[in-house]
Amino acid sequence: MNEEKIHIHIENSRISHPVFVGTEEHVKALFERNPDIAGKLRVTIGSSAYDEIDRWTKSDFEEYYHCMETADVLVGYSFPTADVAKYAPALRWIHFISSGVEHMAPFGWVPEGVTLVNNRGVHLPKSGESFAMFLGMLNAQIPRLVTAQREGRWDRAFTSVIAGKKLVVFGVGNQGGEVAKQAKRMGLRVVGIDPYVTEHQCCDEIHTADRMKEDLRDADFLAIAAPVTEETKGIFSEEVLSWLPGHAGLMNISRGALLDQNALDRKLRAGELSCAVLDVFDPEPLPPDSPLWTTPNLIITPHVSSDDLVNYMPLTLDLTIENIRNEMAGRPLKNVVDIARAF
Amino acid sequence: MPDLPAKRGKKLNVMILTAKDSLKVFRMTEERLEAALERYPQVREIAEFFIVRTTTSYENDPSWNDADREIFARGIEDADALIGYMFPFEMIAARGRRLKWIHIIGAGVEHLHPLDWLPEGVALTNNRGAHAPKTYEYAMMAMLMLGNHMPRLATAQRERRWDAHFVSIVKGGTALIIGAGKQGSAVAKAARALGVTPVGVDPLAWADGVWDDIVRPERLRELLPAADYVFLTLPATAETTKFFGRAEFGLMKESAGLVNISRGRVLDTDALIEALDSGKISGAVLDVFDPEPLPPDSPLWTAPNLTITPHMGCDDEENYIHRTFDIVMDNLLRLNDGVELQNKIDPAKGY
Repeated sequence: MNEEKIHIHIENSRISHPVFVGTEEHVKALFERNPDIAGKLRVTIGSSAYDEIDRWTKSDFEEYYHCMETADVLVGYSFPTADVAKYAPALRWIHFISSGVEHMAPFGWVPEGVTLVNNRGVHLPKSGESFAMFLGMLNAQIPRLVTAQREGRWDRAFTSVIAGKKLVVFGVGNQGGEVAKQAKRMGLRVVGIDPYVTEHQCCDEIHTADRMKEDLRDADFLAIAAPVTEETKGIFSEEVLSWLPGHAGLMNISRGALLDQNALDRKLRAGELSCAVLDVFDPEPLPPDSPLWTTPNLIITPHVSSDDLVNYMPLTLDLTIENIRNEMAGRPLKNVVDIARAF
Repeated sequence: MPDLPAKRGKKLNVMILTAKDSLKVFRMTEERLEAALERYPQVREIAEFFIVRTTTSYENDPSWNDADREIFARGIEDADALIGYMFPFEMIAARGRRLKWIHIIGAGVEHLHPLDWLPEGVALTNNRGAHAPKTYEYAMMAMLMLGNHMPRLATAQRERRWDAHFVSIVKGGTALIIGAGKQGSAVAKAARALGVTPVGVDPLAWADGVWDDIVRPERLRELLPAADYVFLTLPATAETTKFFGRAEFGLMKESAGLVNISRGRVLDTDALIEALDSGKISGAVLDVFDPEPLPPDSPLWTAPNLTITPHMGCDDEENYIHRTFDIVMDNLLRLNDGVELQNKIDPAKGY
C-alpha cells in the first residue's frame, strides 16, 4: 500500500531550536488542513544528533538511510551528501527548511533528476514585521538610545518621522522585496540594487550594483538582503560603507558574510555611521569575545528576525504540500534553487 | 458660549514665548512662523505676532533674569493670546488685561496645576494632536519591539549573551490603550496597521472613528488578562498618579509588554521593576519618567527587559512646531470668529 503513497521524510536535528523541528503534531495538523490528499501521503520523521554529519551517531545514519530508501521528498537542512542516488533511489526533490542553501555548496553531489527547493517566502509574515521594526528603530535611533541606556546616559536625541526618507535595499529577492514593501507602507522612497531583478512594485527604482556609490550617497537607510554568493561575499567593505552619509543607519538581515563586521565596528565607533541593527553574523553564534557586543549604536539580534516560533514549521510544510500539489498537477515546483547561482 | 466676541477691524496681538536655550524640536522661530503664515495666509489679516525670546526657558525651575521678566511683563500687557509652555503665573492675572487665550505647546499641562491662577474668561488650550504622526510611528515600533522581545535581546547584548529567542508575530494580538484621547487614537491607528486589535479605556467616549469600543476604567481589570500590549496614554492628574501598579501587572499575561508614552508619574515604577525582575511581564518600553531627566542612580537604567527612550518618542524634530502652529492658526481664526477653540483644557478636570 505504501508504494502508492508519496513518502515525505522530515529530517530534524536534535540541537535545533524547536522552531525548526517538524513534529507529529505539525503533521497531524497538516493532514487536517489538507484532507483531500492526506490519504495519499506518508510522512516519516527522523532526528539526528547534529547538523554536522561527522557528529551523527550510528543509529542516526541507520534511521536516516532506512527512511530514505523509499522517500520521494526530503524535508531537512543537513544530511549526508555522498551517494544520494544510491541511498534514496526514489528521491525527486529536497525541500530545505532554510532560505540560504550555501551550507550545502558546491552542488556536485545533487543526483540528476533531483530538484532542490528552498524555503524563501515562508519567513515573510514574520520577517516583514521585523523589517518594519528595524526601519522604525533605525529612524528613532534606538541603537544609540540603547547604548546610552547601557551607559546610564540621558541622551535626548530627537528625530523626525520616517515618511519621505530614502531606503536602499541590496538584493530585491523575497526578503528584499518584503523590506521594500514595509518601507513603502511607511512612506519611504525605495531604491533596490539587484543584478537580476529590474522591476518591483514596491521599489521606485532598481539599479545594478555599479551605481551603488551614487545610490548610497543620499540614503537614509541601507538594508542588506541579498544571498551570500561568490559575488556578494564581503561586498560591504569599509570603502563601500564609507559611501553612506554619516546620518545613515543600516541593517543586515540576510547573511553575515556580506558585511565586513570589523569595518562596521570601526565606523560606528568613529561616529561615521549613525546606527546599525545586525540580525546575522559571521560566524554564528557571535563569539563571546567579539568586539561587536560593545560596539556603540549597534543592536544585535541573534538571527531571530525571520523565524516564527509558532508558524515556521506549519508554513514550511504548507509549502511542501503546495509543491506536492504542483507536481500532481504537472506544474513546476515553487522555490526551485538555481544551483549555478546557489539561491 | 463663544470664547469671546469678535473684534472687527482690530488685529489680535499674539505673543510667542520661546527661549534661546530651547531644544531645536521646540524652537519657535521667525522662519517656522512665516512658514505657518504661508499655510494660513488669512491669519495675516487678523493677527500680528511678536516673538519674546528669553535667555532661558521658564520651566520647572524658574530661571529668568530681570531682563527676561521685564520683556515678558511688557509683552503680556499687549497680548490677546500667548503661545508658550511655562511662565510666571502671577503676571498673567496682574498684567494680562487683554489676554483671552493661552496655548501650551505640550500635550500635558500638569506643570500648570492647580489651574487656580488662570483668570476667568481666559481660554487654555494644549497641543494634543501635534504629536500624532510621530506617535503613530513610535507606537508601531514599540509594539513590534515588545512583540519581538527587543528589550530582552538588548539585555542579552549588554551581557554578551547569544539569546536565540524566537517569538511569533504581532498580527492578531490585542493592544489595551489606557487613555483614548489624541495620543491613544494615534496608538490605535498604529495597532490597526499591524493587524492588532485596539481596545480603548477611558472615562470619556471620544468620537474618533478608529475605536470600535471605548470601555470605562472600572472594567480595566477584566480586560488586562487578554492584552498583549498595554499602552499608557492618559493625562497626569491627581487621580492618575501611580494609576498603573502592582495589581495591574498582576493581571497581565507573562508574554505581554507595557509601553508608557504619556507621563512618568502615572506608572508605579517600583511595581514595574518588580514585574520585569520576576518575569511577570515580558518587557517594557518607557519614553517618560518621573522625574526627567531620569537620575543617574535610578534602578530603571539596569532593569532587565526594559528599553528606555528619553522622552523623544512622540516629538518630531522637524515637524513638531509646524504642527503646533497649525493648531495655533486654526484657533486664531476661531478666536476671531468667536467660535469655540479646539483642544480646550477644562480647568476643573485639569486636562
